[in-house]
Amino acid sequence: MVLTGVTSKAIRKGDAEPPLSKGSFRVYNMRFCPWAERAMLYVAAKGIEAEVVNLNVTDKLEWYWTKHYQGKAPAVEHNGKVVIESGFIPEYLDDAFPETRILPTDPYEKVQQKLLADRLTAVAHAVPLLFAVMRDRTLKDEKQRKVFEVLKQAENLLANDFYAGSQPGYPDYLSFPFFEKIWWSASLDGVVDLPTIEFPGEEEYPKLTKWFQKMISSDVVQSVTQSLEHGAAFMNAYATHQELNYDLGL
Amino acid sequence: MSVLEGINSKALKTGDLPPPSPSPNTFRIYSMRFCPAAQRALIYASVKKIPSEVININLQQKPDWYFTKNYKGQVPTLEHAEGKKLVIESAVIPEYLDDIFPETKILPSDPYEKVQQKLLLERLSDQLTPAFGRVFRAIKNPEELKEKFESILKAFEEAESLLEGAFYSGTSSPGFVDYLIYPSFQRVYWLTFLLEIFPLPSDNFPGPGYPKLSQWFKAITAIPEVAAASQSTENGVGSCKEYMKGLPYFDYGL
Repeated sequence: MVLTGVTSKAIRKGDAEPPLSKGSFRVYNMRFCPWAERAMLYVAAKGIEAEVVNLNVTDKLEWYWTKHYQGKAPAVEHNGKVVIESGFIPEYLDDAFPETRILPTDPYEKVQQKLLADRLTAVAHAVPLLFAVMRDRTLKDEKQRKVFEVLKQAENLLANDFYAGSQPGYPDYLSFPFFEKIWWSASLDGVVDLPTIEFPGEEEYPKLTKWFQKMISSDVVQSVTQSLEHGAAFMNAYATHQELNYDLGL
Repeated sequence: MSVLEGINSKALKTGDLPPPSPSPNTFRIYSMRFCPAAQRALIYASVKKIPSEVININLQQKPDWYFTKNYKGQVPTLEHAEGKKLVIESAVIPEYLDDIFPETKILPSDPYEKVQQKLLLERLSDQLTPAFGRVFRAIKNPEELKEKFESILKAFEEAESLLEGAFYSGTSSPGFVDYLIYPSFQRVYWLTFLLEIFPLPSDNFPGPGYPKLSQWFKAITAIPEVAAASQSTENGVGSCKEYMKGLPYFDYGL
């Protein structure tokens, strides 16, 4: 296991900053956050040995504000340097640890993969639509129509087994967490008419269904993700403004 | 002598024929004269001294063929390699230009310093761009304006505090952040001429409340390569007035 502390209890207000020894690498995470999962996936895919510190982002730690000015996850820290933002951490990790580079070195191929990942953020923007349905089931037909459009677009953008080509890469790791959140939503009653088995459905999304199965069953994803049951429960609590249990399932 | 050719060419619109593919080694930037996002690409190409051909697009009557260059139909778009390579997004094009022309690289090579520049640009943009947009959209409703001014002033306070030295690059010369955030500040500068009640002055913009920023703005405005890629205050303010009247403004001043 490359990552330690993936299932550690979330630290919260009043907890002291854990010491980070010289040369060690740390990821500040929130177990159910798709943006933080992007960083976790990239660290795992690159094989960086890292200590994961899970955060309670409701009851924020005072000292964490010096690492992230908005107090959010993710952040990565090593050798006294902190880098934030899930849109920037992956490329930074490729620059800082080039021996396990995931993005192509060719400038044009690299930029096209970054632009593809950017285009796939449409999937990220689809997730809050399902939050709205969790709050009000009467919105289901209206909201899921847009989700289906986004999934169709994602299906059309998938030209190979993976967005990066024959192997998963930058756009795959950066978009997967949001597909997963839609999958979690599909397991809740009356939120979205998508299957949880063979998600999102081979009939409408044949390539995407194969892609999702490969991704969810991969060692990289399994080493950082949460179960469908706990993920769905947490997300439902988040969407319906209930108290959040950052240690759900631990 | 500017490396940008055609920066004040007439905007192409619906019905206009597509331009021929750029010749080998020619870089083309699809732009709109008053678009701050497109200006970023122009400034970066200008500072890096990449000879570029500029083609302006009418963003209200976009030619159909333009969507084959940029699926969003937005500017800027960079085209080269005889049209075989297309790059979009105003924060992505500059990095790409640094990658393919490393001899004039502007971003730091050190991974940490490089990512800090990108984070700083995003942090500044995330405040300035929507704040300007809110004021500009409220420009016809004077009652709404004053509350919108608050977000601009807040954005400027943050920008002043984030400017630790002469430039956002953290060095004695301007860098990635300075060149790419400048268009946003210039747009607010134009507002000072458009609105009598605007809370920031035109003279020594943005004024004594922002001493570092005032020095910074003056220094960036004076850079010839930046000026060559930017529209004049006269044309900028004039184009905004046309926009406010609902008149076409893309070719204002030509």
